[in-house]
Amino acid sequence: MSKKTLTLMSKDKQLFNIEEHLAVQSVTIRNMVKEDGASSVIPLPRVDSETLALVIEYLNRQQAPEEDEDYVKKFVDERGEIPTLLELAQAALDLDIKKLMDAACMKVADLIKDFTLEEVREALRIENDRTPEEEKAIRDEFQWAF
Amino acid sequence: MEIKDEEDRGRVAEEIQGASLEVGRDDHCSTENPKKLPTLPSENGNSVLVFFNLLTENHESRFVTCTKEDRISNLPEHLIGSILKQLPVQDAARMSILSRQWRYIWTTMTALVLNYQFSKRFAKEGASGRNEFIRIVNDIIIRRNGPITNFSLHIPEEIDSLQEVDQWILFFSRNSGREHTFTKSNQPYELPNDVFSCSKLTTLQLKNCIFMPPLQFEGFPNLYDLSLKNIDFRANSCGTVVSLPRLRKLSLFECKNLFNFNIKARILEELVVSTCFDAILLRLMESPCLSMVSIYFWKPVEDYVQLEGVNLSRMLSILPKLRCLVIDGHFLKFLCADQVPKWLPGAINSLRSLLLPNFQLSDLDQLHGILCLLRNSPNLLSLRMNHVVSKEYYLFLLIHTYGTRVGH
Repeated sequence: MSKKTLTLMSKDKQLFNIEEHLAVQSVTIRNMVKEDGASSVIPLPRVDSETLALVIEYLNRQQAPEEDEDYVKKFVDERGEIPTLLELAQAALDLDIKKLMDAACMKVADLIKDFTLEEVREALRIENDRTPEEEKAIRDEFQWAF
Repeated sequence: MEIKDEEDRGRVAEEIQGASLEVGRDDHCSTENPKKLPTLPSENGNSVLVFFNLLTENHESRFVTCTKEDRISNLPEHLIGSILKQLPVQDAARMSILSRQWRYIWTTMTALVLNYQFSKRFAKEGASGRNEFIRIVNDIIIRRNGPITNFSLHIPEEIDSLQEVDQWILFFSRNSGREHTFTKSNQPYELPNDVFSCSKLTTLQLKNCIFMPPLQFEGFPNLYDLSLKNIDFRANSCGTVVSLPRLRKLSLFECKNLFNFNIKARILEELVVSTCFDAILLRLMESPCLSMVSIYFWKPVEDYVQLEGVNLSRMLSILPKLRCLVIDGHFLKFLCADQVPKWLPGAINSLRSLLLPNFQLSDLDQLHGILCLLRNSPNLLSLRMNHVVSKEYYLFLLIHTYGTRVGH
């Protein structure tokens, strides 16, 4: 019996095939399959093709369960750029792949932990929407943290 | 401002919520953002709050439709939370300055880790240093918004009055806490009764405490991992049977008066005992499911009072499901102090993995013990022996053994 394959479509309309039993590690896909059999293409309108390729690489891993923790750590370590990690975390959040999301967030936290606030804003592309007065008020409130 | 569609509604709600939260704290914020306030649907404060709640529940859905550019500048709160929970609490608090969206997320983390690093950084000597530490911890705890399920606390030696600590623990125990790590430097700390009322606890780690449960204490019904280091089980807990019906892993390091710790743990699978010399050892092993047992003494046993009736064949006879045994040379020598039989009454059929750290080939008792173990273990797959190792290397081996499938 041949294994059932699913097709995922990225935001930029690229198609990726993956065996169903691997794809259902994503809770989102598992629910889709349960609901309607998901025979056609599953569109992922927020995941670009580069990120989806990474996610598929992760889902296709062949590790024994007890080596999985190390594998997912190494997997995100090798993709140590913050923008890539954020995309990956976002995709893992959408697809509900908890281990991958946690590992990507952990890596981001690890990378930004010694950054100054300005550097964090830049790395995570956060727009500062506070006035200097508001900022000072928070600084005074949490003097101990700065 | 006109609310066009669901996405905008979500955003407006978030902005309103942000503004309203600032109002309570800081008057100038509300005057700076008056343009958002006219969109409020009601003048009644209560119904406004309800409106916020309804919309904020939906607001996650706005991330489903937004574009990539939007998303990068506005990470979902779930991801921000996942990032923040990896950071020390002071760094997470610091991040609240990044933007409005980041302002309160750190207060909703379910884990609160005030560990050794934290106390080392914030506890300074002298009365003012002590007060400052208490003030900071109170400040963090008061700001908590939502349940704390995981609480780690290291009490620095600077804290000599423990009233505040008792209150922090009370706060945690009322907060449906599930994981608790509690350590104390220098003087041991007598655990307040509130610890024993945390019925939802699943993981408990204690270090340098006095364990004296109240008389009516019956146990932790949900605990599955218990680790006790440098714990003194005071005498008047004698007779109280601590029921731990879900306990799977028990670790005891350098505990005193262990004979007062009378437990009932029917499904215990893993037992680690280090440098505890009480006769209780065999009683602890009276759990029919025990499959991993590690016992190490680190020092020759001559220094300690002989434990009556504890020997190798008796120990093995009460462990029918033993798969992995870690036993150090000193403890093995002690078990073999009586005559070691060539054949045990029953073969250790279940044993797959045997680890012998701190072992001396020159010691005949140890050698006999090992031969007896090997002779009686027909299904053994893996054997590791180390001729006197450091503690660090031993721990490495321990992790390695438990981390890999036996037989590889």
